[in-house]
Amino acid sequence: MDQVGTFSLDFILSVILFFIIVSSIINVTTDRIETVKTTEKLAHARNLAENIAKTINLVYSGGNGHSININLPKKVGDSNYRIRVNSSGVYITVDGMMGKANIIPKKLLNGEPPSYSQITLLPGRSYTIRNMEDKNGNSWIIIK
Amino acid sequence: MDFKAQISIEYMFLMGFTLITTILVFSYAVDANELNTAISAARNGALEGASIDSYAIYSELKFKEYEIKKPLLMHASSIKIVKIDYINQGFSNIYKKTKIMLIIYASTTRVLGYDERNSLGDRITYNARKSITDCFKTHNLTNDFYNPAFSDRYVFTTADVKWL
Repeated sequence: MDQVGTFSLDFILSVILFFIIVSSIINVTTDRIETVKTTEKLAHARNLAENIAKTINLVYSGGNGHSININLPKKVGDSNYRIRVNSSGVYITVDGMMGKANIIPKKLLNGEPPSYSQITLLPGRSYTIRNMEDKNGNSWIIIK
Repeated sequence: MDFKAQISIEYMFLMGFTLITTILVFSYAVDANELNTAISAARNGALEGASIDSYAIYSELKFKEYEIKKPLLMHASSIKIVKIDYINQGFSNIYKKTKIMLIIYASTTRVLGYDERNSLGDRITYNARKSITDCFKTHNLTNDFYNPAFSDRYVFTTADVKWL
C-alpha cells in the first residue's frame, strides 16, 4: 500500500473547486485589465485634448506675440490618434472614439491670415502656438 | 477472511451521505459562482461605461449626435457606480434559464436632464451586458445590443440606471 500513489476524495474535490474558482477569476481579471487599459487610454486622450485647449487659451489670453511650444506624444496608450483644432475646440479621435475640449472661440490658422482653417496636428510632432495680430488689429492663433 | 477487503454498512452510509451532500453543495456552489462571476463582469462593464461617460469620449457616431442634440454631454465630469443589485425573476420558459434583472445605481455631480441621463445610463447598461457576454463568450446567443446577455445558466436584462 505504501508503494501505491493515492488521492483522497478531499484532495480531488479541493482541486476541482480550486480550478473552478481560478477559471472564473481569470475571466473576470482579464476583463478588468481590459477595462483598466481602456480607461487609461480615455484619460490620456482627454488630458491631451484638454492640455492643447488650455495652451491655446493661455496663448490667446497672453496677447500679441505670446507663444508656447507643445510636444505631442507618438501614441495614446498603445493606439494611434488624430487631433483636429478649429475655432470652437480641440477634437481628438482614438480607436474610433471621439472627444472634444472646448476653447475660447477664436480665429485659428496654420499659415498666414486671412483664412480660417481646421488644423490637423500629427502625433509625435512639436508645434508652436502663437498669438498674432494682423494689420487690422484682429487677433489670430497660429499653430505650426 | 482476514485477506479480503471489507467495509462496514456504517461506512457505506457515511460515504453515501457525504457523496450526496457534496454533489448538492457542489451544484449550488457552481451556480453561485456563475452568478458571482456574472455580477463581477457586469460591474466591470458598468465601470467602463461610466469611464466613457466621465471622460466624454464617445464613438464617432454618438459624438456627432451629442454635439448637436446634447451638448451638455460633451464635457468631462465625475460619474460613479454606487452599487449593482439584482432581482431573480425566476426560470424563464422562453430562454430555459434563470432570469436575472440587474439594477445599476450611479451618481454624478453634473446637473443633467432626463434625456442626457438616459443616454449616459444606456451606455453603462450596454457595457454591463457586453461585459457579461464577453466573459461567458455567448455572442452567438444574443443580439447587437447584448440584450439580453447570457451565461450558461442565467439570462440577464438591465433596468434603467438609477441616479442617486
